[in-house]
Amino acid sequence: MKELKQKFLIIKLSSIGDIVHALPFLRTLRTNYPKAYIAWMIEERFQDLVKFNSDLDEVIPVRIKHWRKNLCLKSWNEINLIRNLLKDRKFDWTFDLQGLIKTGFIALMIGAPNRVGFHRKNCRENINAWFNNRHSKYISTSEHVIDLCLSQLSVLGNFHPQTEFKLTIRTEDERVTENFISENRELVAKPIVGINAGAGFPTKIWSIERYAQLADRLVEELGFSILLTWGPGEKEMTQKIAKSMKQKSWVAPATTIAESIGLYKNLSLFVGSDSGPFHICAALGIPTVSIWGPTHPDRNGAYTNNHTAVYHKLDCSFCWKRICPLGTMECMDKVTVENIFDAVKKISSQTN
Amino acid sequence: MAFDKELLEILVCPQCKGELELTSGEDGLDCNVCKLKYLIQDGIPIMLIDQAQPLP
Repeated sequence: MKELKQKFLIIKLSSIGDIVHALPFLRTLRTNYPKAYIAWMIEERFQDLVKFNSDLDEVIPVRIKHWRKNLCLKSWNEINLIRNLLKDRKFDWTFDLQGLIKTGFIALMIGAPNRVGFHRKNCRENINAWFNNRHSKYISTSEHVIDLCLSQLSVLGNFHPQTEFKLTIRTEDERVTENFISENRELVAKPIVGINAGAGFPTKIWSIERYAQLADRLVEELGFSILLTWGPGEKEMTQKIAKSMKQKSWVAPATTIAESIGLYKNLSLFVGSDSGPFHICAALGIPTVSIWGPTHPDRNGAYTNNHTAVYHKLDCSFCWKRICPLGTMECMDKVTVENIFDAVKKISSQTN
Repeated sequence: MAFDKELLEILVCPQCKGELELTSGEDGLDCNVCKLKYLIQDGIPIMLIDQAQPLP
């Protein structure tokens, strides 16, 4: 009997939020093509997000960021291994959900007969469109990133979108949280609000003092426990919040991405800006209150209910800059402790 | 646009997840369990249950 299995490769390398936003694409593809072979190419450091996803047949971790910075013999050997693996797989379709020059080049190098990419105007780097030979229809830049990803499926068919986020971890990834909780029983005596102050862009960061004031009010007035979460390079900032607080709070233990998913599952509510932890919590269905400045919540925010995006609209809002061109960070600065406290109060009363 | 028959052959019915059959006129995919026909328009299968046509 003829082997009918078609091989799809999703190219979405980074970062946490963008990968989470591509999960409904995978779910929809798998729902409609249960017999297909589906692989995902991802930066090694983010592979926890998809490694145990039952919709995938294979995860292909790469270290492109590392290779570009350290082009040595070891890197070339690793690149050759990946090239040979990709050659062996003979993918029929690649879906470039990143839309960058580098991912377009990767898709071309893989050489699948069907290379799907975004419409030129939807690519983060327009040149990406040159490398792909099938393109999704243009969708408005105000549409959500999840819808943008799903738009690539339009080259295969018209499908009902499956807006589910499978974030599967192993039992051993829960262990860090279990140990932390067993050593800190007082933390779980009350509903936990997770606060994550860090973010990828400096312009997305709200002030440490305000987080501390907010956290105190959440303890004093709403009776929450506060768990301060952090990622690479953010521990010091998090400890400063804990030190600035009058009330007791807990600084989360060091975690891998998979372990952090296990940790966030214990939250009743999450507060933070547009960051990886925010996207993971929203995907887990944890109510969130998020603070927005340079990026737009309609496009990058939570896709489902039980979320409140707080922002102060200025003429220069949603500039997408990593560094504030005016040097004021006014968009983030204008969001007050009161704004976030009120949003938490409202969303927690609705959830209860 | 010509459609890829191999791709159509691995598609499943969005309702029952069962196999589909390409119609003789190649204008749709029939689900003989749900008695629904999913139309193919310009090479694109419309896999939406509410837009499928009932089979006689």
